[in-house]
Amino acid sequence: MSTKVPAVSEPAPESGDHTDPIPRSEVPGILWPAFTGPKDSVTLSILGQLLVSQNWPPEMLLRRQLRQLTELVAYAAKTVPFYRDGLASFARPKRPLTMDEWQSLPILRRKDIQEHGAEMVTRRPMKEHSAAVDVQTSGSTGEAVTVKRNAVTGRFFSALTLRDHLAHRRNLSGKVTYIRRMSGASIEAAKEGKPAPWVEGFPSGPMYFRDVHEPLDETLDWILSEDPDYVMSYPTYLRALLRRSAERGVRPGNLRQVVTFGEVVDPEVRKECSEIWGVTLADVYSTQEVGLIAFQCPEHEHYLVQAEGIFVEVLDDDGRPCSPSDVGRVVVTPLHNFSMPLIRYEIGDFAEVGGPCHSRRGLPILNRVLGRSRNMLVTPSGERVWASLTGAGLEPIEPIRQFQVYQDNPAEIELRLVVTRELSSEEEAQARRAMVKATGYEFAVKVVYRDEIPRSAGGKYEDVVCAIGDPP
Amino acid sequence: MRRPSTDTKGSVRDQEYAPSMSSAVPGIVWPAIPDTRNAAAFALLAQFEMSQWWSAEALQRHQLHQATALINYAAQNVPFYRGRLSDVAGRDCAVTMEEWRRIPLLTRAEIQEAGETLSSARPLKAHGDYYVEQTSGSTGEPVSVRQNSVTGRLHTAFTLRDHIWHRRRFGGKLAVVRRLSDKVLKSMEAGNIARWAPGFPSGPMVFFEVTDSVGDALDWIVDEAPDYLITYPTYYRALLAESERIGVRPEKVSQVLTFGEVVPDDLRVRSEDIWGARLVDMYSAQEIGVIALECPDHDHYLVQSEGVLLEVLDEDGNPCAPGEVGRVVVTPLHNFATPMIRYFIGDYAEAGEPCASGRGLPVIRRFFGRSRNMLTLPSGGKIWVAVNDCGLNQIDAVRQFQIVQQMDLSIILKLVIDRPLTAEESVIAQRAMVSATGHEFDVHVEFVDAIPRQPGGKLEDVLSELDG
Repeated sequence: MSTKVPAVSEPAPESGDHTDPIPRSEVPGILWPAFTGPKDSVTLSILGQLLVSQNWPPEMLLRRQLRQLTELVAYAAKTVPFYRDGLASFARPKRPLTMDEWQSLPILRRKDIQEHGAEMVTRRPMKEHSAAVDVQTSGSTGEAVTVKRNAVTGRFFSALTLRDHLAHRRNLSGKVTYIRRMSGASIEAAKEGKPAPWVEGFPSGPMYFRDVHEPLDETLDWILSEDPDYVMSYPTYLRALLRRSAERGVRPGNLRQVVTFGEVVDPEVRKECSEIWGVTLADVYSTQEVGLIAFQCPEHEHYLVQAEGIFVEVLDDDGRPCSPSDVGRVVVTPLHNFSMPLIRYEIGDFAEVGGPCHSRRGLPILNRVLGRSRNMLVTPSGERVWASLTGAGLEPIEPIRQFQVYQDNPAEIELRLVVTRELSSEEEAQARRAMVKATGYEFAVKVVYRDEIPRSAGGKYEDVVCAIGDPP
Repeated sequence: MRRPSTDTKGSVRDQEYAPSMSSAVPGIVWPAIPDTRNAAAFALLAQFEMSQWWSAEALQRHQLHQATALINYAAQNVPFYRGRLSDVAGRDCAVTMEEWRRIPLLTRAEIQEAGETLSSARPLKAHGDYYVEQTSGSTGEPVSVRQNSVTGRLHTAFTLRDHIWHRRRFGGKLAVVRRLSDKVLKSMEAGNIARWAPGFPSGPMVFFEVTDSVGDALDWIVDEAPDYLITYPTYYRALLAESERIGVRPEKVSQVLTFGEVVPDDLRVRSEDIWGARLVDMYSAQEIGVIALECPDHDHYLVQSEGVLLEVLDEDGNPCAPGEVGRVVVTPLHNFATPMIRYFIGDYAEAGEPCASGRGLPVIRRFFGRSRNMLTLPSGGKIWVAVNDCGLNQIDAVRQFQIVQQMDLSIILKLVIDRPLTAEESVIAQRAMVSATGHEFDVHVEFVDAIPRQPGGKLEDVLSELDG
């Protein structure tokens, strides 16, 4: 015979007395420590390891990374056609890889994934990693790629995201408004206003979504009426919100923090965030194809590399590791993606290497990340609109290798393409439809072919460039 | 308490220490993805990793939250508590510490008296099947309480925390010298290799029956060459004496883990001098589980507040200040099968100042009260008494007992009873010494009104006049 246990409300903490949030307990009567269900227990088990390893000295982290990389490389050598020849000598390791051996491995470029993606998928998927799913992304450089991820990479993403929340002491029962590019059914769902939880494994507050293409003023009104604890969006979109907010003399009253992702954060945006909304901005450096790379240190503006999930190298033009305060190419290796190993993948971003962090964490530091900037476009009526090329529909157009949207007058936008051959008329129509999807607006589109799309000054690769200044 | 300041061998204290969990997913070695069974305990460890750094007030707030769920449940489902908790139970907000202190203390005598009425009449399915834990505790007053998978999961997590705090190498070998259960014996007969660190790539665990001779035990330990030994303090003292006498010692043992009794200061020093091993104690009770572990950084104990609410109370029932000695009153926060609310366990403790490590877990400088002697055989050899197996626990009329060995080696078995024993029970009492030691002694049973404490508050269930 079983019985119910009466509920007891959680005691309110005294001010200034911090306790970490309590996970979701699935056993009646047990409130703390929580007795979590099987799936949450696994996520928490990983989180528990992260809370310890973040304080390890860098050499110890590196040693563990190399051990995990050795597994990944051996598996890739044995089961992934693309790597079979190049990595053959590492297929049956007797000891962990050394750093010298690691640095001798070739760099993987976006073009390689575009051209050989199918050969980069394992021929012997492991059932314990679950079925792989495709993730399509234009990345920050306008070169579309498709990669596979699975339940294991998802589990690490959850645990690393939890670490970010805990490090920033976010109130997990708080409300989040999340403004991002949406597609298809999710736009309709967002319009219905149904929230979803935003934290895994813990009692979570609601997260409300909104498509970034909705008119700016309406979105600002929506934020004001939802009165969230956290706003999540792209830095450039945030800037537009902040400026509009200042013009109208309004601000959300309950806000604790703004979380940004997807692009470079201009120092000006940080300043405006603090001045106009009175809160800090915490940025997350992640990409769809590799997951979480780094998040902003809670005590500093620099980024803590998520070394337990990804191996990050910052390399100079000769392929040598950069020293602190040098800027170099970001080369990443997700440690746990065995569905489609990406080994020494040059992601297209640049970053400045940091020195050791003064807080007690031993994770590697990036002072800043360059290269994921995105601008908003201007319509003929002078309205600013957000453009996001990822998943808009350019990727499936076969001859396209790289793309960029450029605008220097409100009457039209220029779609710059690097191609293996000119588009057919059908493909060009497809590209134009993609532009409507990417911007939420029917711009006049001029298609232009280029041999290459160079970086802008400062090393940034931008997939959307707007050369029209801010309205006075 | 004085702990030797350095490990002389096998120490990883000042080196890097980062044990890797076993991963259940091929290809993933770090961070590990454990299987769901081990993940259950690791999810608790992850929470401990955070909560150990909370302030004392924050810890207490969460303890009272959990304690409120327990008393609300007990008031409704445990006959013994009906009425007893009416002042505090049944509310949907957490009790305050003031209200908590108004709950009457639970004594061993009350647990004995209450019998099954102290257990839930409607056990919670989600807490797993219960099993009965019988113990004479440290005071010779037998009690039996129920445990279940919830208390078991916490026990595993606290044991792992102890291993990690004391930086044990999980690949090492652990030798266990204690009373062996039938389950362990069967598993040994079947040739199974036991592992001591669940969820980690663990070295083997080997067992030795504590009632066998100390000389044989030492030979066995030297032979097995373990990295760690776990046993009772009294037994360890006998091992050290034997080691000193014959001039042989196990070379690799770097830590000796003790439990079940008080550790006298000199034993820590002897451990260092004779075996070159650090002694690390765990304060636990069979009916409760883990209560306090030695601090990883200091010479004191840290209460395991995530599992138990521990109070050190003076004679008026007020909390003791640092430096004061008082009664140990403990509430296991998650045992809904046999709720023990404000249970005076029979031991005493000295409260300590907050830990300098910054951990908010309460500090206990030392415990008093759990002490036990070994008996002497006609051959001069020493023998351990497995009191929990002496059979007296099964006689419900027995409220307390004490085994006293006199100078002529004969035994007086003192019994406090609340009714005359049946003929069958008398036979059990007469056979108690054989059951507990495997040896025949000359036994006189004596019925007494009470068994007084030793000077210093100790209450000993086994006392030898030969030990002076």
